[in-house]
Amino acid sequence: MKTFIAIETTDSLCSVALLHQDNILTLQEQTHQKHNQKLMSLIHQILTESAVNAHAIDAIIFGKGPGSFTGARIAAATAQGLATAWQRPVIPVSSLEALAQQAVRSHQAKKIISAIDARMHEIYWAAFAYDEVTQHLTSLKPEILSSPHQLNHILSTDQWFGIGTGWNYHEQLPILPKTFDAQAKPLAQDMIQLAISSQYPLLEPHQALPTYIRNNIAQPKQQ
Amino acid sequence: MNILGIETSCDETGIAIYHPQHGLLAHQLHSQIDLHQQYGGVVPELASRDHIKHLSPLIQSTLEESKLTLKHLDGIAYTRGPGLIGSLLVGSSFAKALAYGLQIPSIGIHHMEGHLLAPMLEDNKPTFPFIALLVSGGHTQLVHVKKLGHYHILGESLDDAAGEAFDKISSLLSLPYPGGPQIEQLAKTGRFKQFIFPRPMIDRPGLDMSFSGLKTYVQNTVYDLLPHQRQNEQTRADIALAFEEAVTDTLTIKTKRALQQTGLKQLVLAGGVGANKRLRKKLNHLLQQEKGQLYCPKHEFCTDNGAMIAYAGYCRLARKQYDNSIDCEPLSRWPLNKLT
Ligand SMILES: Nc1ncnc2c1ncn2[C@@H]1O[C@H](COP(=O)(O)OP(=O)(O)OP(=O)(O)O)[C@@H](O)[C@H]1O
Ligand SMILES: [Mg+2]
Repeated sequence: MKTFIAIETTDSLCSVALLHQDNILTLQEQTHQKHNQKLMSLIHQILTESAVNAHAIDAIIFGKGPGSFTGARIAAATAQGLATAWQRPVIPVSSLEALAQQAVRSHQAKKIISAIDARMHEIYWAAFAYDEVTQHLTSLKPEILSSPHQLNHILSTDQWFGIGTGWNYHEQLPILPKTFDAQAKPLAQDMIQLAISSQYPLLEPHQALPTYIRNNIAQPKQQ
Repeated sequence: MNILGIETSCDETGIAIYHPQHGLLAHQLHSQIDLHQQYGGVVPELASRDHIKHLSPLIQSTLEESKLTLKHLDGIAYTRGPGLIGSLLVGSSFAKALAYGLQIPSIGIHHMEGHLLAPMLEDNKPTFPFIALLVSGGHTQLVHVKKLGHYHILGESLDDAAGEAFDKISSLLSLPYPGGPQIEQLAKTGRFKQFIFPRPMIDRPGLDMSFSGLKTYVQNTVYDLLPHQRQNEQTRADIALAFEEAVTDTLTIKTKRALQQTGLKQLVLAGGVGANKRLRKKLNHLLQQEKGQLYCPKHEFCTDNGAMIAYAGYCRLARKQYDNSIDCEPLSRWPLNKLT
């Protein structure tokens, strides 16, 4: 039996979960810009309430994004710090995949498009299929950054479940998924579920790094 | 007692380990100058991305250099502010998690306190109380340092920091970022009094300063030059020298006033502009006149570094003057006189 701790701060939620003796405990708080201030307290709280000794933890899972750059860095830096101190590996999990897992858990969804608002009229998105037999999510379309209109093509191909803040752009889309939940935020508990059921590599603490996808940050100065 | 220092307030990742008896056991720095140079200044998001990539490997190599392991550490000092919030968040999140995991205190340090205590890492160190002239990319302040945590700001720049003025004039002369060392280099071949720039606010009482007017004056001078003059290497050197003279004179005049006003005889010069040789020379001369003593950190500890944070962390841990709370959030703005 594994003991995992998971942290996720790429949106307005500060979400923490602990897997211990096959049970998943969760704690979350709406913290907006205050993740750094709250995250360690929530970690402390979940360890104390569950009476789990830090030495019992096998790995630290963190939400690597895409999403808020700063949020993903807070989770990554915290995961690095804990993993360094406890001498345990890290497992980075995509926030889009965590959303897909949430769609499976709370809506029994089978074909899922996760989309996260990337601001500037763009979204981060990816498509997944859930196999009930293997209980695995497989990727149908890898993570990209695009305008919401790029969803049109894939939406016309199947009956989809949409999840994530990216679906707040739904009014701009001619075709919509069968159902969508634009309120959903990535949660640490789904990251634990993913880490249990899929093969994620265990990484060294310094490899706990965010995934940004958006990489054109600044224009070089013209001389 | 071994204190790990973590500095990530701007564009350098600095890591060091300090021990009160053995001094600095190791220190390492990763500078992002090359990364930001093509943009003509620090791009905050790129700075944050770079910090998180380099922090862990740098800590590992610093530990190796010191021949210590994590279990030998007694405290983690990190820069809590002021600085770029995204960069501060990386260091703060990492430091608090590491300290929590190791069950040792985390100590959030004021970056400018780090700078002003940096001369304490030298053999020849000042004793409290003293005057500190803090001149960096974001600050230009004269501080009456009574003791640890008791800082009274006697005067400061009302607009641009001196380092910022160096960077802007350097950019105006098409020199790369950061500008301080570039101007200093160019000024070496300059001729005195080819240009005369104003010494802002020296005829006004008080210890406040201003560098934005000087910057505009230099800008206008450069714009008024004919194109061939503007390209002329000698002319550019003359301008660099006249500018360096104006800034260093102003700082020296205000510092003299601060010493006379307080009757103190020790001056600490800290912050990136403190690396400037002309400024050091003038202040040294001033302190000789005043029968006092100038204290500077060694060159590499003038600009941002982990050593000054580790040292400040030790001072605060030893005196139990710190906030070990895991709820302690970074502060992008944090006036030095709000410290206790
Ligand atoms: N030799 C020099 N002469 C003049 N200025 C210099 C010299 N070397 C560095 N500087 C200036 O020092 C500044 C960098 O110093 P430092 O790293 O202490 O500042 P910062 O950390 O960016 O700002 P702050 O400490 O206020 O947050 C830059 O503006 C740089 O141009
Ligand atoms: Mg500095």
